Amino acid sequence: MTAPVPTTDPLFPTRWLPLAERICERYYLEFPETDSRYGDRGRAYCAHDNAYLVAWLVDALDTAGPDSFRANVTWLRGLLHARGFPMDAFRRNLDLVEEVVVEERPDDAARIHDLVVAAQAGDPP
Amino acid sequence: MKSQPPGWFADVLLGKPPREARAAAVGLADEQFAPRDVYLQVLAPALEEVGSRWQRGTATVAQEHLATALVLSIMATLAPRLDEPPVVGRSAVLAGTDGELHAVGLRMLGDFLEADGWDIHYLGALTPEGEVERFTADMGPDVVCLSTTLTTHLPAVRSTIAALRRLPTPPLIMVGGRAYGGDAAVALGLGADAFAADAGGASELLRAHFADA
Repeated sequence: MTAPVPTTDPLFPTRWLPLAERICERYYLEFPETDSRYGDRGRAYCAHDNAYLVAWLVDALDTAGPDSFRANVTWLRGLLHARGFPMDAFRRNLDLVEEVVVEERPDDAARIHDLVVAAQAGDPP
Repeated sequence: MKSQPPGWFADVLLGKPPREARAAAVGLADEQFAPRDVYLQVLAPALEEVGSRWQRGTATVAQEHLATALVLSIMATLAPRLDEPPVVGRSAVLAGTDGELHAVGLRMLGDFLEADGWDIHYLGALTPEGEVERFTADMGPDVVCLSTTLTTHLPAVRSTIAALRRLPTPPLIMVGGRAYGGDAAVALGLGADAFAADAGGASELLRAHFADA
């Protein structure tokens, strides 16, 4: 059960929430301590942030060009780092984003992998 | 003052009473900068700095809103000082993409174009899909400028451009904003005629484009 996504953005990418929740299920299996650290709010933000990550990845594939995913991820990484989120978990979460999006778009697997690897190569702030 | 780091004016926006911050910006236009450079070299970097502080957790959303509102009021004070507008007989529609909340850069472009003598129809942030096309069909502008900050709004740009192309007399379509990451190829790939990274670049490009027209 996911807590309500914390946003007032009228154009929050709701269409990607089902994929985001799949990513979060896998993430919480690997990082169960997230629950004790962040509670329900953590689960809500997991879905929120992953919906954006999926949206940005699809944007990069379809409209915004390959550099956009790295730029968006770099921005989010900086935001989470400043709030004490563990960067190894963030990096692994990107692997899970790749895994789930490839399940939806298998023909784009190679491009998706390249985008995720490039985004992971960004320096931590 | 020119040795100040980019974004230094953020401290003034967030740390001074609004009246003092406004007076400081006007003072810069009186003593050091052309008003246009206050827009591009002082106000725009200051808002970027406030956004970065929010990202780093050292500024709040309320402070972002405060700084944005203050910058808009400073621009309203400085706009009449930009230039004595000539009459050029051209008009532009300026709109933020559907869902786009960031519109200060677009407002800056509007002020620059007005100073160049253009008639500006500024629709602002959050212009719904379909409305730009309808308004353009009614007004018949020479140019439509679409501003987008978030990549998630680019699909709306593509559909708006496609709709504008279907008009009997399509305008020149210029796009800009952070969503493009400075990459003109992305903008042209969406169907735009022209791309500009910021308000200063956009006004220069339109000056050049229409200089001989």
